[in-house]
Amino acid sequence: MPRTLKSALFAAVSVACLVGPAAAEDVKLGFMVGFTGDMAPWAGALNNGAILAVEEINAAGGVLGNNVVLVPEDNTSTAAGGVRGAQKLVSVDGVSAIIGPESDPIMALLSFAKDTKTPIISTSAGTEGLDKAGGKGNYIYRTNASDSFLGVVHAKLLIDEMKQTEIVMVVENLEGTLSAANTFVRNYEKFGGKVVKTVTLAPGQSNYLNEIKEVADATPGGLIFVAAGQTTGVNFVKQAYQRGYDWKYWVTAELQSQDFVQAAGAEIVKGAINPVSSQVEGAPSWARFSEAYAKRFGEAPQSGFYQAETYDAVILAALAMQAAGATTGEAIDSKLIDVSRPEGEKVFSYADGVKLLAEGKDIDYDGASGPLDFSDTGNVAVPATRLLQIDDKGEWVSLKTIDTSAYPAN
Amino acid sequence: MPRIGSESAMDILIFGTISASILLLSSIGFSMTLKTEGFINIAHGQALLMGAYLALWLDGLGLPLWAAAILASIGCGFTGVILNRVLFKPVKSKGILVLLFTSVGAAYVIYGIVGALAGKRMLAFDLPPMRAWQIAGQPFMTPYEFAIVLLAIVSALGVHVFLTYTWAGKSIRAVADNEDLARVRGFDPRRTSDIVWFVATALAGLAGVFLGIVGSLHTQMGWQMIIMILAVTVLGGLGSIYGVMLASVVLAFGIEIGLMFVSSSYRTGLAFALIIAVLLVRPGGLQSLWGGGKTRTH
Repeated sequence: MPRTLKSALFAAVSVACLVGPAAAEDVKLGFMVGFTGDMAPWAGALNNGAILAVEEINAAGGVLGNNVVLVPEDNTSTAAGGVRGAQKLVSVDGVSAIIGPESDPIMALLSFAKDTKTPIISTSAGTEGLDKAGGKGNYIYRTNASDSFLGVVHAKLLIDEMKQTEIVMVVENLEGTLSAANTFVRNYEKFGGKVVKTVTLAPGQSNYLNEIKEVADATPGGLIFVAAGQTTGVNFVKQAYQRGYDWKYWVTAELQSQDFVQAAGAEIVKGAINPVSSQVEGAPSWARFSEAYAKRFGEAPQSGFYQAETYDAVILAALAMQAAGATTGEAIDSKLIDVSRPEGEKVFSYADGVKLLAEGKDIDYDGASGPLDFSDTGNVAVPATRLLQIDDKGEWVSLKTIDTSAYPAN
Repeated sequence: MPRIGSESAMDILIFGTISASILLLSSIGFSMTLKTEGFINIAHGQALLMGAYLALWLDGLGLPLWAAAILASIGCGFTGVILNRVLFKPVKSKGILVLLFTSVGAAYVIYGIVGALAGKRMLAFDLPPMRAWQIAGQPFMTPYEFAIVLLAIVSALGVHVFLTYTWAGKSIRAVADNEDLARVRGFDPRRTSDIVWFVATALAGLAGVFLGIVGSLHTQMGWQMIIMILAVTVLGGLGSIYGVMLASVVLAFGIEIGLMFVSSSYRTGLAFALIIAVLLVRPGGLQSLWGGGKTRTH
């Protein structure tokens, strides 16, 4: 009896294997972000951005007549998780491209992308390690701004807007946070600022009392620059408050979340400021995206959560396949930069892009997150920066939007 | 803004005591199961996770935090007993490697269940922001930190009294030394084993609650702590309960004192350098200071 059962099972599995791929002519796009770990607060928003894009693509007839499906994968916000996830997506699921990995995971995948000819498009990795790593032939792109550029933004805003020319740095020992801190320091010093002291936090410790003492000894005035992940960040600010320090913080994107405020306590982190890249006010592509997003998910896209960047990455990958006439990773890599070049005719949606491509025209996709004019190394510039601050009730509110398009690109 | 001079002896004493207490509470149960059952229970880290989230859930139901912490700790204790009876006991005869891998499996199951129920996002106990008590104008400890220190001392003493003066404690030591002989002499290894698992897992759960209070609750906290727990246990001497107590103190103060000379980015490196240094001189760990490096571990 067990033997019959076994063979029946085997037969069923074999049939499923035969039928599986044949029945679905789906184009698969891997969507790999940190659903768990430090980046988890962002994952939901990123996921929404990707879902919205895929739904719009399929509503417009899919890619070359094929349905597009998203294959989600958790990279646990780590380099090791990224490698594991990418291998699974490519060798088991057979995806055409991978969208989403953050700084730590994508830095571990640079040669993987090239070797497997799978384009990997990050939508939130700021690391300066990607400044020169990507572009056509390298299979690496990102739709968000580099820390190199954000470093300029942080430095200029602190000096010009906050009038703060001396600062104490608190930096967690992680790829993303180190990169953000390094680019900031380089530019801050270039623009005349002075870093009084840098205190490094080892990840995952239960107390940072010694480190807090070091910061206190540097007698910080004004804001303290904190580049740290969520859990380390919470421990640091909580314990600093407990020791009697009422510091105000200037934080990097890692801490810009409601979870951070809740875990640390509004009383402790109120007044903290974070600049996030943003579309200029009233840009038509942003308005269109924001409305569609609100309609689909019942809430406006929150600033600083990279939904628009993710949405754009999926649309770009689909447009590139459409333009290349094939659904392979190579096809995406060959056309990704082309479909968004400023020389083409401007389009704001996938449907319009497909229409113009069918007419044989050169297109320039202007995304929800910005014009997406890629450099040769697969990087984009951001049009504006929004200063967000934690108010007394513990909400992140928009302080002001600053046009950063004239800032020197590092 | 208070302005204090550079790192004083008082600071080192306070910071070191807090760190040592967290390490001790987390590690003591791990060492108890290692001693009596003879294997490395990787699921111990996840018992911390379970305790923290259980307390958060109970707290959310409206219980005061102290009651939630006690109940969570007891809940963890019973889970430990069940894990032992259902998972570990049946495979004990297969050897320590099988036990080790079973515990890795158990760790992932607990981790998965907590993640599925509580979600993957960082959480925290709903506590009012608290300042540290001031002593002579200097910040001393917060009431929470003080509670951890007290609890660590109480558990260390409690475990000592329990092992030395109670029938159950004596039976634990007897079973750990020689299970067959203990059985012949009238100790019931099964009951002993239940007690060990209850106490060990309950202490881990309590440590988890305090970790959550000091910082935040996140699903990686168990994995992060198990590394430190392993380090403390190796430093103390495998399975030596007193060794672990001493190791927690040595490691915590070693790091705090070391940080006077090196940058804080080397905190983790410093911990492991310290362990290597001790093991080079005393390969049996700190317990060999009084155990003579023999296999008798108490």
